[in-house]
Amino acid sequence: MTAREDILAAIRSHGATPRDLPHVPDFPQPAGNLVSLFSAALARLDGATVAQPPAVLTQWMSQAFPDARRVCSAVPEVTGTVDPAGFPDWAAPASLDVTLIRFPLGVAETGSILLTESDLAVTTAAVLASHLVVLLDPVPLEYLVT
Amino acid sequence: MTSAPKARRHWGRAAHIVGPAFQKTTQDVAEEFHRVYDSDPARADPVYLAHVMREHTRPLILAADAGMTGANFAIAETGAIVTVTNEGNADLSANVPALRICSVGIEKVIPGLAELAVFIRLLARSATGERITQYTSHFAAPRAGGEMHVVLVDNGRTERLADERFWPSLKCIRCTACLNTCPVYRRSGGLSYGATYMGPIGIITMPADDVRRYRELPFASTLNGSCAGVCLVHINIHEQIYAWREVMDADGGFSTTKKATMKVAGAVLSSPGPSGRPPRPTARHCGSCRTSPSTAG
Repeated sequence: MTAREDILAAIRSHGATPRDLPHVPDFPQPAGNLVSLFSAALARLDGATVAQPPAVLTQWMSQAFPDARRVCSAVPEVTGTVDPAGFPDWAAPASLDVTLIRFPLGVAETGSILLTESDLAVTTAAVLASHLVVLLDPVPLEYLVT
Repeated sequence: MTSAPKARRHWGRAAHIVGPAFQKTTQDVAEEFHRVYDSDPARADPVYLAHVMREHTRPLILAADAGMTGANFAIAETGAIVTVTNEGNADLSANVPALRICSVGIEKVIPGLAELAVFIRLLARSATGERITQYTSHFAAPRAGGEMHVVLVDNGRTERLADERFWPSLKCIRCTACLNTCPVYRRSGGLSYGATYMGPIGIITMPADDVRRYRELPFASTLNGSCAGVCLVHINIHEQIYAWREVMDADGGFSTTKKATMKVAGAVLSSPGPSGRPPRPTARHCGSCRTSPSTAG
């Protein structure tokens, strides 16, 4: 018998009486603009929102990060100095100054953003870079943590 | 990593589950980093200290062949392991090395994403006062070119599950609300428990691991019930503490002298004095008094 089977057998034989799962309520969404709620929540995490997107993103990047030398851009609007598909391993992005990426989902309640491996094959490019710039369309903003 | 255990040995055990070095000042940290990393002992600002730590530990992570994490939750619906951190330590350990190993207690398994949303809210708000931590990560499968192994740990949990008195302790999500409200913990600190888990939740979980080694812990409580009152997952902590005392008694944990002393103390403390109130304790201490949770409360 494998260790897994041992554990499952022990749970079945020792387990407490099965109970119905409690109902998980739908949490009410507060009134307000989701972008404003997202920005306020992000500020609590020491993040900053650029409410009005700059006309020329490259110019804004140069002004915001004047000392950045290694910029990894995963969006077509900006050409970085590092190819996000060219990292040989997951430790390679450690030298990045800035990573720029478009995220598919933001959560207004918490100021959180969703990053998946389908958005950035080497996800450490977002974790290891000194700065992370996120392009987030207001439309897919959700309120709840899911 | 090699440097962390060196610092840990010098500093002793963790004093809090969420903030292991809560009892240290930034100056304490600056002096310790100076000793271990040769940084500037006069600079005690957290930003500088965070950079010192990053400079010395990140190379170790980048060079690691394997990364090992625990888990805050394991989701039956998706098969994902979920970690919740602010420092990103779990994310670096799980994402940078090609080999990812997750050690998961079987009580961490929850049904699905709907339940996770509740637990994430409960955990972050109670543990650190945040709506969410900096990182909430799901690891559902190995990456292309990488490996992922999940180690499900029983280690007495199924036995605990079968015990009607103590199984609710398996519901704990380690939010530490019970520590933060406990009058004994707040005065004695976490180190005095001498255990991996301290405070009320430590009192009811550590004896299950080693009943003889931690036989004193159930007495480190006033049974005031504050811990159970704030527990997010409704663990009857103070009742379990009392039940552990019964276990210790049945196991011969009380000496004849202790029983006689407690019998006398009970008679004296339950008898009102001339003023109609129980006698006030004196400021004198017996020779066995020491700084420990069992005498602090």
